[in-house]
Amino acid sequence: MNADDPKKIDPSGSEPVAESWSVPIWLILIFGLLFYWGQLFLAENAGGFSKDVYGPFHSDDDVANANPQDPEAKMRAEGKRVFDNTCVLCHQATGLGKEGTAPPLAGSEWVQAAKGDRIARIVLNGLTGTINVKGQDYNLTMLAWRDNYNDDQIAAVLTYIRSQWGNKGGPITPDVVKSARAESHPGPETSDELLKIPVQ
Amino acid sequence: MNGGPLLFVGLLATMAFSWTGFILAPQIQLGSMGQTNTVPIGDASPLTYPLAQSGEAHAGAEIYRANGCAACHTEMVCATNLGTDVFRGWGLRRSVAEDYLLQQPVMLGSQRIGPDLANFGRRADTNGIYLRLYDPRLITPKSVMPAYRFLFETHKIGLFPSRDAIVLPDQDAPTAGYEIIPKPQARALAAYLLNLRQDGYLFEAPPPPQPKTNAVSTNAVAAKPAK
Repeated sequence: MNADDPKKIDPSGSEPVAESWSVPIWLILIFGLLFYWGQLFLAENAGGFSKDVYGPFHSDDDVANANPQDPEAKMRAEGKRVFDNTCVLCHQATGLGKEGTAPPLAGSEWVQAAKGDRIARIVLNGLTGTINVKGQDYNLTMLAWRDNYNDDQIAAVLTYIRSQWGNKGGPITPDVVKSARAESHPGPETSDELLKIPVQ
Repeated sequence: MNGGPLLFVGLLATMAFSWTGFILAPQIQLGSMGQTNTVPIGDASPLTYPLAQSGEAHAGAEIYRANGCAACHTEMVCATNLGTDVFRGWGLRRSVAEDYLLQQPVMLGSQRIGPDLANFGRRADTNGIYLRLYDPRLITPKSVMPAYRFLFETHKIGLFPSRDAIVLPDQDAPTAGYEIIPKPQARALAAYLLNLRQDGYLFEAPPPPQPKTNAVSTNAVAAKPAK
């Protein structure tokens, strides 16, 4: 654009330019607060951005709890947790135990008995001496888990081992464990003592 | 103008931000969604959900679209914490993304000048749909819905009256010897509307808590007056 152009708008001859201004600090603060509020809102209401979470639910757990529950499945899941933390060391993930020492749980007549009174006592008080399982003798001192797990957890692990590896035993209620726990027992159980407890 | 590159970068960032939020994030969240199984109530077995609609219903969706039904009717049931849709009988549960899996395009609608149609197939019958299309005032006296009479044709009755003729109240019946037949478009639209049902409970939209059966029976016995 030359200076003699009659259509010239700016008499100084220069093009308009964008100047730069610093953003006022209060504006930054306000936007910072708005951003913070937005993050809080998302944390509360976004449901973890899960595709399964719709209002009025807030999290995956909320949705899972609102679905029809199978109380036995919940028990078995808790039982598996306890088993994998503790029992699996001797009795093995396959439930087959160890030859001559840890007796098998899979297919065991002790585990699948109609009532859980005997196995509840084994888990609570431990076991010493020889025990005959599926026609074979095993000898290993089992520790008492009385002080490590509560009634619900022991009932859960019993329910779990009665449903695993093809075992067919019903669930064990915490009441069975509670009544077994109420009879205090000095030291571990023995096979002979246990056989006196009726399980039919 | 000296700020060109900065302006360009700003515009690009704005577009990229909204593209991430509106396209990329939903794709990551829902892109892998497929047909699933319903959550059954009690001992019922799970069913595949959603089911593909019939060819006629698919053609009806195009009629629905072409006549602008979505301008006044929504197809989405609000959550119970956001509206009264479930309480007024527009659905068993809120709508979720899975409900629209097999619809293309999804005609959610935005204004509720007419009632929500997400579960219209659950409460409609074929002749009722034809009557509403032929003259909405026949069923809802104060309805503002336009009549879609061009979806019907008047025939002279031949040897026998047609099975497809719509059943009108006496004061609106056509001249003696004539009958009103829905055109194929009306039939397709009716098939589409009868297919509108979001009645499978899903993991993300679970059934409401069921009352314990023994509690109900106890109450029923207790409620009986002793004579």
